Amino acid sequence: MEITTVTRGNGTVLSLAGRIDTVAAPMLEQAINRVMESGSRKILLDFSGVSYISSGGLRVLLASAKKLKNTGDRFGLCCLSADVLKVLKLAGFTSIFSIYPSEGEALAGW
Amino acid sequence: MDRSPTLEIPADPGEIPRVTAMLEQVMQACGFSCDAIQDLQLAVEEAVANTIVHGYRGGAGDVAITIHATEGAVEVRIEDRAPPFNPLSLPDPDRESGLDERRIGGLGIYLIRQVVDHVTYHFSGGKNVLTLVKRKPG
Repeated sequence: MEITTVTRGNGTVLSLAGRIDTVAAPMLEQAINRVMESGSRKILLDFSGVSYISSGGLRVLLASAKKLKNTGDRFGLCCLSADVLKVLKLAGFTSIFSIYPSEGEALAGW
Repeated sequence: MDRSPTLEIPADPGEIPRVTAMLEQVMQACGFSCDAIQDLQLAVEEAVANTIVHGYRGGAGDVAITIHATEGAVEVRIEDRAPPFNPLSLPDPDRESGLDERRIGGLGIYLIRQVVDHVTYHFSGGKNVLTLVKRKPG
């Protein structure tokens, strides 16, 4: 998996490309933790380049959301493919995550 | 192409992509849709990861994955010599509560049940054997 980190407005966008599987999930967790350590508490994950996620990736999403729940924090997901959305729905994650159709729509409210 | 290949891997999560790649190759050759391939890749990844993390507890061991594909269905048998454990005995995870109450983990087996058509477990000859079946729609 490739992760590109860009600061946009008030937030930090991590653009993800590849498969978020058992092997890649720790990389994603480290990347998110690095952003938080740098002081950014508004993080958007752009899933445009992701067609596959397993429970290893879901675990990272849930752990990150739990860390970014204070007033002023934001943690969002955008541009989910049908395949990724299907797995999030099966896991019951769509009710606890902020999911946006596009980067612009996510960041507009931040 | 051999349509019932077996892959033996050491208990290392880094080996899982080799398994899912082989599964994709076999299923593509049998004309399965991308959706069906992704579903079974997810189930197999979850099952193998579970064996490595919970069965062998991060220690040494081997996992054998046998893929038997026909025109109508594909069956994947996953065998290990970790202590006997039936993953299908686990309760369904909480998928309803809010973020604070939601526990991390426990989703793997649930996802397997959702994306395959049939899953069975038995312990025989000192081995845990989990069998997953995905049928071609129609």
